[in-house]
Amino acid sequence: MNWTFFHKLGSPKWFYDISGKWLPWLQVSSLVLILVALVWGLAFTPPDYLQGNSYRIIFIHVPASFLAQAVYMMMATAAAVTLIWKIKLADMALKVMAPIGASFCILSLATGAIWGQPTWGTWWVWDARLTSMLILLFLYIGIIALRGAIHTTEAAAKACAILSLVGVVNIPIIKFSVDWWNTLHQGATLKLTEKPSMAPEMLWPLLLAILGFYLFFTLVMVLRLRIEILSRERKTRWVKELVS
Amino acid sequence: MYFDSWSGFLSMEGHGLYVWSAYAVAAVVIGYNLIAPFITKRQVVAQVRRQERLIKRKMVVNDFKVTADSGEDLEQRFAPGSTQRKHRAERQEEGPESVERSAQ
Repeated sequence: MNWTFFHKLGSPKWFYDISGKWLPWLQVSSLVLILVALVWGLAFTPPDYLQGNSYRIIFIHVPASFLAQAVYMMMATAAAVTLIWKIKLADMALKVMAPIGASFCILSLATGAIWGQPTWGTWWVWDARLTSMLILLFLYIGIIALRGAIHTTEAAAKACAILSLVGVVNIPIIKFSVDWWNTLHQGATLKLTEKPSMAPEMLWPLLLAILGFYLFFTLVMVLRLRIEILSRERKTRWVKELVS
Repeated sequence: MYFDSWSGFLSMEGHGLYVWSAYAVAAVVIGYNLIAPFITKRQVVAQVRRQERLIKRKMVVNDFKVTADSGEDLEQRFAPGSTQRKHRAERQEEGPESVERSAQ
């Protein structure tokens, strides 16, 4: 296997140059997919036989929840790379992903609460799924705050990496909470191992929305990462030439 | 299209307020994620430019030190009454006084 790509990842300048070419594609694809999926889901799908029209919240609630957990797993991966190989870019990624993940976690909790009111008759219950998701938000906030509290870049990188790795224990708890405990939250709609329990006319816009949200995350993550690269490499010649 | 009319689309058979407020929160989160990088970028660019200006100023100061230490004719470089000498003289005069002030 050719490992040169792995060494190239150690070079922030290489990443800055190549990611500039991805931006237009990410912008167009995420915009088109999210627009198509949401218009489809809002106006063209039939209502749910049980929940009526309130179920249309699913087209943002599920992608946001998926992202909130996936971003955390990516942060944990970046944390492991930071600790093992000391690749600077991995720590930068860990830093810029935290606020994005936190914002999608808030979106997931907020849309869940809004959906809960007409469906369960309450905004919030302390059931396992909702509580573990709230803990995920606290983990995100904790990682952001920890970095703000430590001024040395290297020390902050190490501390945030360790906290991110410890927090991974929460991810399987979120995923299996609806199976392990008797929760008010419904079971998983989409499973990799089984056929989805949704009608295809509802499933397609949902899948498009998930893909669109993932592309949108990639877009804003790359945007933030490029700026973080400029900030950390500000003493190098190429950044000075680029900025002035 | 599932709905017959715009008003039907907006009211969503009584669930309109819930659905639309959920989508409004989504719009806010998407907007935040799009705007935040550009605000940070402006701060980082300003930071790099400020650092550049500081380095340039330091280089000018260092330049002065090097020429001053290398034993050039200072009298010729800084004619009597030039600001540099004036400052130094003033500082020396101020010296004991400021020590007294801090002692009080």
